[in-house]
Amino acid sequence: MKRRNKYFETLVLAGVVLLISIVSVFGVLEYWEWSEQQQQAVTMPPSLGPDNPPSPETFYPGRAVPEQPAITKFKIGSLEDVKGQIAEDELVIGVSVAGEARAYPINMMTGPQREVFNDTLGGRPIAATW
Amino acid sequence: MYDRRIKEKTLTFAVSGMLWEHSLVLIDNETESLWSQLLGEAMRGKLAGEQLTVIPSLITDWKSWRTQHPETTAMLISRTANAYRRQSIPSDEPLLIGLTIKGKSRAWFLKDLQAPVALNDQLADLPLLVVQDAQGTVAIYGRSLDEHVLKFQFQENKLTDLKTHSTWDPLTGKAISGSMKGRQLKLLPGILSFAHAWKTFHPQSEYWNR
Repeated sequence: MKRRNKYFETLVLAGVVLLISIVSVFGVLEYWEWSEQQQQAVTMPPSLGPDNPPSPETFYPGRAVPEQPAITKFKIGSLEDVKGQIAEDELVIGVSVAGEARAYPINMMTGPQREVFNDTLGGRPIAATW
Repeated sequence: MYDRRIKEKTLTFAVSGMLWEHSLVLIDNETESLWSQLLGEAMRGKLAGEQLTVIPSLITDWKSWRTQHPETTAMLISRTANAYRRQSIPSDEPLLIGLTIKGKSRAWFLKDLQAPVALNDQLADLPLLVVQDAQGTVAIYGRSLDEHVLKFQFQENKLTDLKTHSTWDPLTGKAISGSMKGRQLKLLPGILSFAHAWKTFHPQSEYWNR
């Protein structure tokens, strides 16, 4: 009789311990999730505006796409080279530096892979960006 | 269009993949600082607070550009779009041309400009000319030339200064006839921008005619 009681007691004890463990873990997870939400609510940045002008202190960027490799080499043609390849009415960004002129067709500059080009013009290193 | 030099360094820029209020954030390879493309200013990293020098540029159609600059070269890579043409810039919201001088900003909505038009305006004590030619190309020039502060008007479809009645090419800022022939107005770094983006990043900006 005594041995069976002891076995039974151990079983009940184990069951209670298990129950407490499960409830505790559950409780901790719940708290963790709630705490994260509180954190996010607190760190939501205020929008830029007259009372909140853009500056390093108000800089809150968000990721949209992976970082793109820098473009340092791309084809540049003379007027002869590009004959017929750029339509007359296509918009370009035109720059003239120290007498050297270059056109960057906007239709070649859209999208995250293309929005900045590292170039040199008239001896100056320039970033052509759209 | 920016000069890539800061202090003694020449930087190499890439698209960081991040946006700040829908606006492009660049990263430089040399220091991995993050830059606002619209402001040309580093916002985070070793170079935070540094400002790139803007190089004035013009958005115009290829025919106009190559006619005025027959020696020009052109970038020639595959297209990612086809819609950017003289007749229209794809846009859901209003476009403007904006300028910042000595921390003061001013902008001109494109739809307020009736091509061809010459506006004699000023910003931070700098007299400037906002001109739109018949094709719709907009440019901002300084109106001061040596001791003169010129005033401009379109007369018989030609950009003319009222002092000497010389005519000027809106695309190059160069006088093409009259006593001023050969003289050159300075092109200022006007930025073509969506109205919302300009307002977000230049919250104190003035607006012409508004």
